[in-house]
Amino acid sequence: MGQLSIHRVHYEGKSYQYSSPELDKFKINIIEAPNGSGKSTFFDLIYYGLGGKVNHFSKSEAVFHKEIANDSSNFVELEIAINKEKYKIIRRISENLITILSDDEIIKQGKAVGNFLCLNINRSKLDDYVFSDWILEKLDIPSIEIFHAGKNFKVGFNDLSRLIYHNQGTDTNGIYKPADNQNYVSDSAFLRKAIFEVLLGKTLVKLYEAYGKLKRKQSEHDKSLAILNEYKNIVADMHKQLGIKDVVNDLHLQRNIDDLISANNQLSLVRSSRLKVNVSDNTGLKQTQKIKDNLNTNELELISIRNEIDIKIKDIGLIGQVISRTREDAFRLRKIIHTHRQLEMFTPDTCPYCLKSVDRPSDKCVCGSEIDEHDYRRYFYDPSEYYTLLKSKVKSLETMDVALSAAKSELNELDKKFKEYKDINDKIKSELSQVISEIEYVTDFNDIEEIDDAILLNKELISNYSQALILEKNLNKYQAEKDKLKKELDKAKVDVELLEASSSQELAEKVNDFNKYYNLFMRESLMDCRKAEINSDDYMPLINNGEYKEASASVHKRFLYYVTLLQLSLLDDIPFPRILLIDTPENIGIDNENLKRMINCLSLIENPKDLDYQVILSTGVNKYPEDLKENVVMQLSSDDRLLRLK
Amino acid sequence: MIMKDDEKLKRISFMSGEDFYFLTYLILICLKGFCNKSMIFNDHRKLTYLMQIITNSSAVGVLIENFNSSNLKPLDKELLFDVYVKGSLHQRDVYKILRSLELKGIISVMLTDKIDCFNIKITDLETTRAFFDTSIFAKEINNIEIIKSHFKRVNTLGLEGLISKFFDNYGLKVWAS
Repeated sequence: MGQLSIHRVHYEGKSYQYSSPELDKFKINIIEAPNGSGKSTFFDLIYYGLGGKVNHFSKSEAVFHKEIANDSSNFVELEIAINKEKYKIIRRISENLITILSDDEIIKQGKAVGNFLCLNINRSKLDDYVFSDWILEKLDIPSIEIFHAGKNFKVGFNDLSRLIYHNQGTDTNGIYKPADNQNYVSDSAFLRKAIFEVLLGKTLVKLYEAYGKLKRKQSEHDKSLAILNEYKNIVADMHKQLGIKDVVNDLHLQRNIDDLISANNQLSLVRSSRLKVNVSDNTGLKQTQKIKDNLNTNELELISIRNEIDIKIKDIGLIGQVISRTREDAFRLRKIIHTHRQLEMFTPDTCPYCLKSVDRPSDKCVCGSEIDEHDYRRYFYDPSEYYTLLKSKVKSLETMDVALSAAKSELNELDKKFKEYKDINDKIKSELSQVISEIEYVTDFNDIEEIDDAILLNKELISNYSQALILEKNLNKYQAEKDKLKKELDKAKVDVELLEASSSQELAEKVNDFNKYYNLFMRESLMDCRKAEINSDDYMPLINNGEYKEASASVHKRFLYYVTLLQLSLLDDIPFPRILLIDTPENIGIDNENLKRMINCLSLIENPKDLDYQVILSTGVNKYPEDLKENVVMQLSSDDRLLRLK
Repeated sequence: MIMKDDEKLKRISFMSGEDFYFLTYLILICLKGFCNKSMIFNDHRKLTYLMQIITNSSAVGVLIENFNSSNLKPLDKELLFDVYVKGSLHQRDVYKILRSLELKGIISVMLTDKIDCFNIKITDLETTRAFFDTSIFAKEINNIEIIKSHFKRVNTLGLEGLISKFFDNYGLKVWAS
């Protein structure tokens, strides 16, 4: 299954800026920094960039991150790789939208959608396609719907991150990172268990998928049953109106109709044979006049449809042109952003005449005149504004695609309409020629009135039966639909049962494996730990059969829990994306030696298939084992903090 | 609400073809694409026209399809004329950006016999390498290759030579200043 890795992190705003070094240089990458120099901000930026919620980036919180919340035009840009495919993802601070850029085609729901994609972070409807769906799709983790307490809920990437991102300042006994949105589903033990199970097992993922499918099939089946019953009532009512008293199935209705048609054919033959007396009468002429009028109206209609078609074709051409122009603009913006990043030549305060930087107070033009900042046409923009422009181009491309397909389907409709009118036209023409040829033979109508009456009566019956037949056929369709759903429902039930059996087996094995490594790591790390395992009910750790209560041990418990998950992903093909983000584990009174021993467990990780993985670990100065000295990728200090003033 | 109007205005007033960064990257692509082995590009006045040609694949198409023909279809003629006009309009901006790039130490602007004509040398090879360490300029670079395969020795041409090869010879009546 998939691997996620983070190559670089950038932050840029009007006042502050940060660009990280390569974070995937080694498998284990250490960030060494004293307290207060920006370690947590670093992880917050990554988490925020991946669509997470970081409350203190918003000014409306009681305690907020003053550099970032007070900065403006600021955004996070992550360079990531999913299964070695490189992407840039950009999120503006306080915006719930992520822009994804790639040099190759981006795939969304199995379809290539070009080099740009803009996705919402929050889901307003259950079947919205959001950023989390995209990243899970890339990581080959199916989007799982769980049903809990009468609510259905999709497990998103941020939920799974609760066992990937080891944040700071959380009650370490809780193991999981707290949920972004605290509500009774996201907080439930049920969801926490689901997260563990999803990250750990293939069959378990399939089981949750099967649960979701079962629920969906159940509701589809219920719906189709309701429709079928309702339709049955409607059919009964309609039958009464059509004068059909008993239930007649479609076979017999069709037979009745066929009989009536053949009777009518016979009557028509009789009628023709009576048309022998050659009397000149202007009734025929009247009839031709009527048909001619019809033909006229029809011709006019054809011309107007033709015109509409021409206009539509032009429209489609125009929309196509606008789309390609906008796409070109979007590409140019990407190149512009790249050029800015590489060369940093201009800022919004560059003088357009000499191209040097001006110290321009706001609400003043470069020349010094008063201006309204909002109404100021500029020559230069800052990168976050370029990203906004890019995003608006991507959004308008989406809108134009919709417009294009609407115009195309309208054109289709018009073509269809044109063909219909053309057919009618041909029919009228042939009718006209027939009437003209018959004029000579038009005869005493009184003679054949009776036959006409009979034909009419039959026609009425045919029409009634035909209507009943349509209803009956629809009814059959609903019945077939319901039967199909019933079958699918039964199959879904069987699938769930089968998977339940095999997954409980798999889960038992996984818990066993988990215990094996967790025990190994814990014993290595904690001298007085005799046995460490997880409870098979809620997957929470138990040390020395629950007797061990040392407070500082909870740091080991939590840290090594995450490490064990990573370990399992290297042995077996499980959904865990082989990445750990660990923010300063030493938060409650753990001494240096203990800490080093704990971190040293990272070097015990077994990797028989030599798979790629990434651990980003931040810790205090010198608070890591000597062996990992080479793996320090970034150092911060109180003088050289994370965010640099521009 | 004010923010929204502001954003809307920015969106409206932004024209990608006039952005200075747009011109900057085209300058660098042309310098690198057309320069000689010593990294020197002759006669900076040609740049503005070459930039407009290589950013416009349709223009490259017209130039290649009608190679050696002075009888262009009206639409093609208009397209080529548009390229020429845009090139002329940005002449001054290109010069300013060249001076900025010189200040940044990326290029050096060298005097020639003609008072208004400079040769450009790429001096900061490391920045240039990092700048081109991406595939996003593939289209422009490909256009340069197409142009170079049909029009030999673009770098040794003077401004007049370039104008006559790319515009006059196609039946356009233009004048260069």
